[in-house]
Amino acid sequence: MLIYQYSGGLDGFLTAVFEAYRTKSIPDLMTDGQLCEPPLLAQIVTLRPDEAKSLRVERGIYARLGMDGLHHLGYAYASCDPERNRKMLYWILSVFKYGAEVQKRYQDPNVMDFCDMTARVTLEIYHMLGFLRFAQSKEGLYCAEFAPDNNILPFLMPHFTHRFSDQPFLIRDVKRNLYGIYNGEEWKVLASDEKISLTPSEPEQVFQSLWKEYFRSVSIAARENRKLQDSFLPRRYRAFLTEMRT
Amino acid sequence: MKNITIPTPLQGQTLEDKVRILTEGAKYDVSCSSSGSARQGKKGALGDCSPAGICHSFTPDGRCVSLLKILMSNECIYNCKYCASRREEDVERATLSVEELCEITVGFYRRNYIEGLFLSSAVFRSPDRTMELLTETVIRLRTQYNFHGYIHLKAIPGCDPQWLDLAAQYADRMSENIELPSSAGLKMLAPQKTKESILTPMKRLAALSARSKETRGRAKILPAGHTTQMIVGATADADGTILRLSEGLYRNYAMRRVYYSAYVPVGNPSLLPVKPPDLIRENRLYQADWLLRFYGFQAEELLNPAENFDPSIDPKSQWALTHPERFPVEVNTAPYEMLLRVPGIGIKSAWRIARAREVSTLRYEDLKRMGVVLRRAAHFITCDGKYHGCGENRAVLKSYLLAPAFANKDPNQISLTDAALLLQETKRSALTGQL
Repeated sequence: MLIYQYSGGLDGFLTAVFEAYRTKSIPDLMTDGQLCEPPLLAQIVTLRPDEAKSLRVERGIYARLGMDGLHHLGYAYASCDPERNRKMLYWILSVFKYGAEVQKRYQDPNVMDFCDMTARVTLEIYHMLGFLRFAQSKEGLYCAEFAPDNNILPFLMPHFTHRFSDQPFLIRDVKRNLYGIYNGEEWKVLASDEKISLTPSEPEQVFQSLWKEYFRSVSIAARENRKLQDSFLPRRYRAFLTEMRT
Repeated sequence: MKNITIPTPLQGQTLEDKVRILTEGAKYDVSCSSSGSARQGKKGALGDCSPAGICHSFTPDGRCVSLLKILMSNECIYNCKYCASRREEDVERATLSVEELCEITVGFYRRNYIEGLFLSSAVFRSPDRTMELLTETVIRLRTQYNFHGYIHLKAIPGCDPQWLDLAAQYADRMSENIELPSSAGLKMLAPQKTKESILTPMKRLAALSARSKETRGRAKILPAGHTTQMIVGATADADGTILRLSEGLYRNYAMRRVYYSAYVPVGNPSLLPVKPPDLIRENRLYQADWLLRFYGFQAEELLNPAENFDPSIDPKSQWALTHPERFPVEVNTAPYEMLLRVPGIGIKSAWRIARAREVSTLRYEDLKRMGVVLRRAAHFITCDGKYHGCGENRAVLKSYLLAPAFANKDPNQISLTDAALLLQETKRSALTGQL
């Protein structure tokens, strides 16, 4: 059994992919975690991120698929799929084997597994553009908290900085302890264990109760269909929705 | 940052009361879409539009909340029998000021509750005065509040066209509801409205949104076009008539969307049927509407003018069942247009098939991975010359295509629970456009 143990995020992962391609030895497992109990007889290759190598993989993808390919790569790496690394590896190998034709190979399991995985990430990004809820603090800062399945915070920032360009805000991924911060000029994502508690502003409470009133009133009782609601608005997202809190 | 002030409510009504009353009056308008506009934000300004639209929440009836859908006022001079705000109905009345509407919209928008505003109103004082105040609200949001989010504005029937021309420069989408699919229906239920009073402004909106296509520049007029709504089940009009009307609106009035709303009884007017809303019928109409807009079907292929859709089977399957001479089709060679007509193949899977077969001949096992629903599709296709279906016996064939709630049942004996079950399954496909 061949195991690639890499470090350093996407760069490290792509370095490992480069090595697999160069040495023509496809690993059975790629991981950036600690192997507490490595399987017997496993051959473990430890790899450090090497920008020159990861860049070559990225360039190779760009040459074949353009920016679309790199976007897909980024979305895929944000996925929480336990098989993520394997699916990414086989997709990248397919890109190098088939070139742009990969985009038509819907009959190819290696391609479709990857596409389905990135589709789940982009769907969650799309969901969160709508489901994120901001609350205004006494100091005037708008704050949102959420716990997405996938590591999507960086992908949300451009949308909200564009939309709320005059409104400094903060988005916190409570699962990963990440903060997305916008100061009215530029944004960044920081990791921090620190918890913040903010006092809501006076208008905040008014708007929250108006919103709840609106949400109650706009539903049509004669058409109630909770299962339909469940299928569109997954229950795990509801803890953070103002209108779902009593 | 702009300081947000809360306007003081008048007449002993709290702001919450007003929001409740005016939302109750607006919610039967089914349009919730915030799509079709790519209005850009500006540095230092608030908001932008997302061309695909964004859903912000889903209510217990399973409908999406995208816009703040609200009336400015529910005090009406008209007495249309199907309407919750009609003059003689005993309901609480309320009116929001322009200022209040703007503050609530912006306050909701900044918290990411909504994509924008869908503003409508009952006709208070006169159509002109009503449209003037609606227009003023939109202009104030755009100029004073620097708001670039989505705005859908209702055109008030009978208002001076100058208001439509003005409002169209600021709104993303406007709509004018046909409400009843025939003039006979209008005469009976909304005697103060006529076919002309509805179609004249609609023509104006069509002309305005056509101009939007010419002006490629910045000042887009109605970038998301115009839409309309019909109430289904309040009058005797058949599905075949309704579908032809929709087709005419898409072809001749540059309509972006026609919405169908199963009549929900409000109040107790004796002229109207009192029964639960016919959600299955509404769903069949949406499916057929999708067939017109995305699947290359024509209304006359689907139904005769006096016919209604079969509740137990979707219109596309129904068409396939009645046209055995067109099937089976070979997925590796059939034109894209014909793939679209196969039950169980939607727009996405047809597109995938068309691309994937350029790479290699498709095998039957490949199709499932590509999103084809084989339970339905198998009987209408061959794959590399091989047929995997159940043959041409129509009764057997139909059993594979029946909506699950209707399987093994006499279609005349469907309980309400079945209907609800069916709706969950089919409503989703209506929303995503996959049949």
